[in-house]
Amino acid sequence: MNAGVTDSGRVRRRSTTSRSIRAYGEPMLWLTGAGLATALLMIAGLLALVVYEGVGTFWPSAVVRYQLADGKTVMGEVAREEWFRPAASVFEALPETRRDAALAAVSAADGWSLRRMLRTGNFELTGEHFKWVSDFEIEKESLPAWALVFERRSWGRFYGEPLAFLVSGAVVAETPEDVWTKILDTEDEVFEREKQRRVLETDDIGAVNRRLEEARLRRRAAEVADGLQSPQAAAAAAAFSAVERTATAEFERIRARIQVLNDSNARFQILVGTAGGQQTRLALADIVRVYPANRLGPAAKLSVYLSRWVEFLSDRPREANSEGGVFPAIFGTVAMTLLMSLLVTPFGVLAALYLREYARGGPIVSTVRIAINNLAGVPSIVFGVFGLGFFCYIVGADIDKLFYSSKLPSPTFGTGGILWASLTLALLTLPVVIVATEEALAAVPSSMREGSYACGASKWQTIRRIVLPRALPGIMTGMILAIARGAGEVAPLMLVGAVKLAPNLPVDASAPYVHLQRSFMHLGFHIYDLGFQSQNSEAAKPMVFTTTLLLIAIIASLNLAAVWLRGRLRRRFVTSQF
Amino acid sequence: MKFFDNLARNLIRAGGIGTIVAVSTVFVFLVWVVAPLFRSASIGQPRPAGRALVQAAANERVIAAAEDDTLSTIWGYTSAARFVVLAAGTGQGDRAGDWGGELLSELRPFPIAPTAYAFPVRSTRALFGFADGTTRLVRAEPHTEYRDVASMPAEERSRSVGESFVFDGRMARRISTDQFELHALELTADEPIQVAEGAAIVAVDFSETPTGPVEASFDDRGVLRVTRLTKTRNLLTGQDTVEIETGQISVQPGHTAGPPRWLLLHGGGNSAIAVWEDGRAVRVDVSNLESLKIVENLDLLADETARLTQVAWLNGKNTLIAGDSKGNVKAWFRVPAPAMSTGDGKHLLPAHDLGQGPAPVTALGSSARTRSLAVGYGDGTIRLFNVTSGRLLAQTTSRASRAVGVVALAPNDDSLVVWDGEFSVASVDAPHPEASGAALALPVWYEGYAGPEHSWQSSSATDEFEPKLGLWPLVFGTLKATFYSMLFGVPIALMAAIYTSEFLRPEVKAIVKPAIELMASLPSVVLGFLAALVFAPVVEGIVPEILAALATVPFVLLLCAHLWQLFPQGLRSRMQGRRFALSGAALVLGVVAAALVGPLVERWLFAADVKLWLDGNSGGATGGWLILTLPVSVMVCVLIAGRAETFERLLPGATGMQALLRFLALSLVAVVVALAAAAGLSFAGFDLRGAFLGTYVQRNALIVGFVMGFAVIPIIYTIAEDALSSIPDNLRAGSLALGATSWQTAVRIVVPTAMSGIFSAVMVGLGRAVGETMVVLMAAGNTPVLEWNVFNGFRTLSANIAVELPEAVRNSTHYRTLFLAALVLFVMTFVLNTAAELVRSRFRKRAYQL
Repeated sequence: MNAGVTDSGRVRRRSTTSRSIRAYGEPMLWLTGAGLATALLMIAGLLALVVYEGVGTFWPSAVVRYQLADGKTVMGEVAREEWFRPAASVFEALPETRRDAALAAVSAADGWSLRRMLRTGNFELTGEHFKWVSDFEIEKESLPAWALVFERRSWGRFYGEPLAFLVSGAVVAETPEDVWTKILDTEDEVFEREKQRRVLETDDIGAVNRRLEEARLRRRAAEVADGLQSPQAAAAAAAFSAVERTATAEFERIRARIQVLNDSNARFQILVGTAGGQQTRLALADIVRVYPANRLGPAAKLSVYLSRWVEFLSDRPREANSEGGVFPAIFGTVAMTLLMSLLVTPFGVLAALYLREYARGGPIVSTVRIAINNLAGVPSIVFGVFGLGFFCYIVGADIDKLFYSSKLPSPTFGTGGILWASLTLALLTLPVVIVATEEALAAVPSSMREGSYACGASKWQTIRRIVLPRALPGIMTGMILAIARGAGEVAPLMLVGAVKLAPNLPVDASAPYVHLQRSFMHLGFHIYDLGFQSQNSEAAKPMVFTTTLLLIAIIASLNLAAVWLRGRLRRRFVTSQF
Repeated sequence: MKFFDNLARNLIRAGGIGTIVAVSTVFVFLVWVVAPLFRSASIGQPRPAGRALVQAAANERVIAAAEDDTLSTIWGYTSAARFVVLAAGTGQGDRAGDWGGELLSELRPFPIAPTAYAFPVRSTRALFGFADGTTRLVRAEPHTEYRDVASMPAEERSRSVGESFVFDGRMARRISTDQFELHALELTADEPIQVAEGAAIVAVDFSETPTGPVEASFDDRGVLRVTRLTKTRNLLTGQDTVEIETGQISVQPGHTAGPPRWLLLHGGGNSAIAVWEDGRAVRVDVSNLESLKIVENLDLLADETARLTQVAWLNGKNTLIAGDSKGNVKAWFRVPAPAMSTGDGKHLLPAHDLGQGPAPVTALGSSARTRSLAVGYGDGTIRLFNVTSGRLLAQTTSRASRAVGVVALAPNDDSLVVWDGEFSVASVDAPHPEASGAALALPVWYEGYAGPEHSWQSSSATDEFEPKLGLWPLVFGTLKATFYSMLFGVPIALMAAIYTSEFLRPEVKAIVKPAIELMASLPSVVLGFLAALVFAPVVEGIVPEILAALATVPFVLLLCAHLWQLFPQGLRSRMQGRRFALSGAALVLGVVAAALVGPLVERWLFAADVKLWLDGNSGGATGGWLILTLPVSVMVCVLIAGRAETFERLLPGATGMQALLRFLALSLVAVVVALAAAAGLSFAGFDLRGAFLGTYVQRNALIVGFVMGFAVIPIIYTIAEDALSSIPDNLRAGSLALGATSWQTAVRIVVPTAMSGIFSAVMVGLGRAVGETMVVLMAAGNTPVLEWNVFNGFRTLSANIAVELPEAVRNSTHYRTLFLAALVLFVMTFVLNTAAELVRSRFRKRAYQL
C-alpha cells in the first residue's frame, strides 16, 4: 500500500528500516494471488457446471407423485429446485384449512419456501410440460411403484401408470407386472418394424423423389436450352412422364408396405392412467423408450443412461431439436472442419514457407507478418459477412448461373452451404496455421539446412527432406489449433450455412455422395438455436448442456492434442540438436 | 533437379503471395460493397416522351402524371378532364423514337369538369370533387398479360427477344422465344357519391388506412367533411360489410377570404390540414368523427411576401411538403408536444428545410418507396432531395427550360416523368438516398420524433416505414460491452499474470498457465448460453450480494493477509508455497461475507428492494454513489496516508500488529469519507440512477462484462505473462541483491520494464472484446439503447450483423450499412491490433537488449 511514494528522501529513509513488514507487500500479494485464483475458479466452476449438468442429464430420476392442497395430483420428475419468497396472493389461493399451516411453515423459514419444477409431461392432456410445486402446497408425497416414463416420438414425455396392455383393442394383460412383461416382449419387434418404416420413408421415398426431381430438371434444362416447342423438350417431357409414372407406382408400393408395417404396429397399445386420473391409450409404435423409473436398480438405470447417450450421439433430433440426438450436428461439424482443414493447411503452409524460406526480409515481409497477426484478431463475424457477400452472393451466384441455371431462381450454391462455411472458416483460421508453421520452420536449426546445402542438396530438396519433416509436428499443431478454433466458431456460420435442421447430411449415399452446396447442422449453432431460439427452452436446457459438454470435450481434446504435440516437438528438437 | 527446384520455388511463391492477397481481399471486398452507399445520385438528361398532347388544345395542361414500375407506360390527367395513357419511350435504345409518346388509350370519365382532385402517393386511386357536391374515385391499375407466340399475329412473331413495341393499345415486349408480355394501364371510374348537398367541393383528399379508405372534402361554404368506410369481415360467413361514418365541421378562419387551396388528410386518417395560398393552415383532429375539432392554426410561410405554390404529402402521408413562390421548400410533420395543449398532443413543425431554389416551386413529386422528393421549379430546374437528411441528391433541367408543370418519380425511384408543356422522362440513379456520412453517424430528425436522435431501427411491418440507420447506438453498444468487460477482465488478468510470473512456483505454473489458456478456447457460444440462461437468472436474484462483494472481497482478502502477517516470520517463510491456496481461501471467505452482508446492504442502502430502488421509485441516492465513492476514497486515503508525516509516525505499519491497525484505521476512514461524500452528493441532488445505474433488465452489461471476462482474461493473461516472464532474470537478481523484497522487485523493476508488453496485451484483449459476437448476441438483450446503465442491455455492431444480415435484401441500403458495420469492426480491431503489434515488437527489441 505504499508503492506510490515518490519522494526520494523518504524512500531512502524507509529502505533503512528494511525489516518493515510493509516492504514485503504481503496484502498486495494476496490480492494478486486472488486475481489468479478468480480466473482459475471461473474456469473450474464453468467446466464443473457444464460437466455436472451435462453428465447428469441422462440419468433416470425417480418419478414423484404429489397430492396438492387444491386437491390435484401431479406426477413427474423433479427438474430443479429453488428457494423463493411466495407472495401473499399465493396463500389466498390455498383452501382455508391449509392456509394457516402453509403460512406458518413459510414464516418459520423466514419468508422463504422451497419449490421444485416438476416435469409433468403429458402435454396433449394438460397443455404444459412443467409445473412449479411449492413445499407448502404438498399434502402427500409418494413414489408410485409402477410409474412408467414414456419417451415418445412426438408430444414429449408421458408419465403414467399402466392399466392394461391391448392387442387389437383386446385386453391381454391387466396387472402392471403383466403389462410390463408384455411391453418387454413386444418392444423389440415393434421397434424393428418402426425402423423399417423409417428406412422406407426416408431412404426409399427419398430415392424415388430424387429421380423424379432429376427428370424434372432435365426437362426444364431442355426447355431453357432449346425452347418449349423444340423436339428435345418434347423428348425430355416424355421421359419425365415415364419417370413420373414409374415413380407413382413405386410410391404406391412403398406406401402399401408402410401401411402393412403401421397396421401391425398399431395393434399394440398400452392403456395408461395419469396422475390427474385420466386414461389414455399410447401406441407402442410411438414410443422411443419406456421404463419403470421407481423400480430400476442401479444396473438398469445405467442401461437407460447409456442407451440415452447412444441415442444422443447417433440419432436425429426430434421435437424441434429438444429431444433425440445430435448426430447430424456432430456429422456436420466434423465434415465442415475436415473440409476446412483440407483447404487451410496447404495454403497456410505455402504462405509460411514463402514468408520464412523464400521471401527476402525487409519492411514488406514484416508488414505482411503484422497484417497476418492482425488478421487473427479480426472478429469472426466480419469473416462471416465476407463469406456471405463474396462466396455465397457473388461466387455462388455465378456458379448457379453457369451450371445450375435450370434450378434458378432457387439457389444451389448461391446461398449458405458447407463449402462456403468451410472456405470462410479457412480464411479465419489461416493466420493460426501460418503463424504456427512459421514458428515450426524457424525452430528448425539453420545448422541442419547448412549441412544439407553442404551435401549439395538444392533448396527444395532441403525443404522437402530436412526442413518439412522436422517442422511437421509444428504444422500439425497449427492445424489442430485451427480445427479447434473452427469447431467452436458459430458467429460466421450463422451467415454462411449453419441451419437449425438440415434434412439431408452433406455426405450421403446418393450421387455425387458429397454435396458441397448443402446447408448443415453444427454443434455450436445447435447450442445457440436450442438455448436461445427454442420455443420450450426449459425442456431444451438439458439437451443444451449435453451438447455443450460434447462440444467442449471435442475442443478441449483437440487443444490438448496440440499441447501434447508441441511438447513432443520440443523434445524432438532437443534430441536432434548435436 | 533444377526443374523441380524452380517449380517448387514458383509454386510456393505463387501460393504464398496468392494466400496473402486473398486475405487482403477481405478488406477490399468490404470497401467495395460499402462504397456505393456514399456514391452521389444522378438524374439523366430528360428525353422526349409525349408528342400526343401537342395535338390537344393549346391551353390544355397536365395536372398529374405517373409512370408504371416497368417504365413502359405513362398516364397523365389534364386540365381538360381527360386521362391519357402513353407509351413511355424508354424502350430499347434508339428504337424508342419509333413509338415513344404514342397515345395508347384515353379516358374521359366525367361529364362535367371536376373542381377538386387528389392523387395520393403510393395509391392506385385518385379522388375528384365536383361543383354539384359529389366525389368520384378513379382507379388506374397496371395490368400485365402474358401470351404465347401462337396467339400473337404473324407479323409480330419476328420480333427479337427483349424488343418492345406498341400492340393493340398496349406496350408489348418479347420476354423469351415463346412468350410476349403485354402491359396496359386500366382506368376505371367509380360511381359518384353525393357528399355535400347544394355546395361545390373545392378541395379533396383520400387516404387508405388499414381499416378502410377515408375521404376528406372541403366545400365552398367552409365545411370540412370526413367519410370513413370501415370494412369488416364476418368470420363465419366471410361476407364483407361496409360501414360509412361521416363527420363534419365548419372551418372559417376569420382572416381569410375564400376557400382553401389544398386539403391534406393524414395517412392514418386521423388528422386533416386545410391550407390557403397565403400560408395559413388549419389542422383538424378527425380521429373522432362525431366531434371534429380544430387543434392548430398555423402559418406555413415565414416570409410575408411569398405565397404557397405547391403543397403535397411525402410518402406515408405524415410529412407535409410546402413549396412557395420564392423557391423555398420546407417539410413539416407532427411531433409530440404534450406541453402545447394542441388538443391531440401534437404539434406540426417545420422539421426540415430543403433550401431555396432558383425560381418558384411549381411541382412536387414524392417517391413511393423512400423519403425522396422531386421538386420542379419555374425555370425548369428539377431537384431530387432526401427529405429526412435535407440533402440535395441530384439535379437536372427540363428539356426546354420551361416551368416544370408536373414531376413524378416512378414506383422504383429509377425514373422521373416531367411535363413542361410536353412529356419527357429522365433516368434516376439514386439507390441509397437515405445514406450519407452524416445520416449514419449524426443524430437525424426522423418523422414523428421530437427532435434529432440517434436511432437504429432497420425494419418494420409497414412499407411506408422509414428505416433508421444510425450506427451510433451500435457503436455505443460495442463500446459499452468493451468498457464493462475490460473493467472486470483487465485487473484480474493482470494481477493473475503478475502473480504467475513472479510468485508462483514453476511446477504450479506449468499447470496453471495451460489451464487458463484452455479458457481461451472455450467456444463463445457456450459462454453466451451460460450467460443468458444460467447466470442471468441467478444474478438477477443476488444483485445486492454482488454489489456488496465489490467491497467485501478486497476487504476480507486484505484482512486475511494482515492477520497472516501476525504469524511469526519463520512460519510464514516456510508456508510461502501455500500463499496462493490461502489467498484462494480468503477469496471464498470474501464471497461468503458478501452473501452475508448483501441483505443488510439491500436493507440499509437500497430501501430494502434493490430493483425498486434502481427503478428510481424509492430510497435516496447515497447507496448508488457509494459504489463510486468507496473505491475513490480508498485510493485517496491510501495516497494521503503514505504522504502524511503524522500518520506515518503514528502508524508506520512496520510490524504485523501495526500493519493490521493501520489497515483497519485506513479502512474505517475510507468508509467514513466515502459515506460522507455519497451522502453529500445525494444531498446536493445528484443521483447515479439514470447514468450508470438504472432499471434492471435481466440480460445486461453486468452479465456480459462478467462472461466476456472468460474470453478476455486468458488473452490478456497469456500475453502479459509472456511479457513479464521474458524480463531477464539478471534484472531481478540485481534488484534482490540490492536488498529489495521480491514484491518491490516485481512492482518497481519487472512491471515497469514489461509495461509495453502489458499494454499490448490489453490492446489485444480490447480487440477481442470489440468483436465478440455470440456472448453479446445471447446475453445483452439486443435493444439498441443509448444508456451507460450497467443493469441495462445494448446491441453491438457484431450482434446486429448476426441478427440482421441473413434477412437483409442483397445490395439494399440496409445490406450495405451492415457491411459498413463490419468494416467499422474490422478497422477498429485492426487499429487496436496494429498498435499492440507495434508496441510489442518495440518491447521485444528492448527486452532483447536487456
